[in-house]
Amino acid sequence: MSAIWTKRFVNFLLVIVALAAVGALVQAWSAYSEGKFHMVSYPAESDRYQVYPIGNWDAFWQAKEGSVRVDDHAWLRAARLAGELIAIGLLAAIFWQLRGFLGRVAGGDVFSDANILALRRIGKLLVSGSVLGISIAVMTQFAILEALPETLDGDRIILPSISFGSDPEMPNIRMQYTPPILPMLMAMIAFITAGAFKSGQQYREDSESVV
Amino acid sequence: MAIITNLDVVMAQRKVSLKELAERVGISATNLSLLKTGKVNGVRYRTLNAICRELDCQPGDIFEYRPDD
Repeated sequence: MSAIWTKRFVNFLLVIVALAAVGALVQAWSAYSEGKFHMVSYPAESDRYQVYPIGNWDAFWQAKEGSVRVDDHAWLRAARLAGELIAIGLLAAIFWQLRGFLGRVAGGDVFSDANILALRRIGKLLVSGSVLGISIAVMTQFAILEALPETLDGDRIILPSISFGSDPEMPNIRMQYTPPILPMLMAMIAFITAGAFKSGQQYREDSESVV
Repeated sequence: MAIITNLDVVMAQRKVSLKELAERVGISATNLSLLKTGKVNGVRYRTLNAICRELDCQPGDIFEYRPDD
């Protein structure tokens, strides 16, 4: 891919990120206009769920996953919106670094200080995004648990994603969470690649000063 | 640097100019000048072989080791 097309592709990704930011703000404004900004929902999964046969018992519809919602938590909604906007900003910064990196590589400037710095920055931004995502999830789950009574309907208990004291006899509702494994893995690859580029730069400097 | 380059001495003894030697060895005059002033990190065997051939000398005539004080 030529330098021009590489830049165009990353520019396109930056436009998508900007649209995501606008989308988040529009969604928040819409919720505010409808008086729903104080509502916060979070995906959850129930241990006790109903199963409906589909067709001639060929398949089943499982009413297993849903969301738990708490009201009167405008502060949490605002905090989550701020976190979402920061995450979008981090993504834009990653794409901006990637834009410069790909442009330099396509232009033949591969093993340079600027590229090593860009890769390290991408790694740091990915780690920051992962930590932010984990923090928002923990904060949301904690706030929801604080707002709810200990047992729901007298016989159900709601649990955070990580809990060790759950009663197997109790039909639990567990809040869902997927750890940011992919961003962490990508951050690790970015740091390793930065190290490889550093070695490449030293090798280039050595070979350039040999006559 | 403990390695001293005596290329300028050998060139003066053989009465060979920098430009002429660079052409005969097959490297640029800039690179030969850098080698002459000791501003390089290494010399390829191919380059050293060509210099010794053109100047009719041994590698030891061009390079000298002087321990640092």
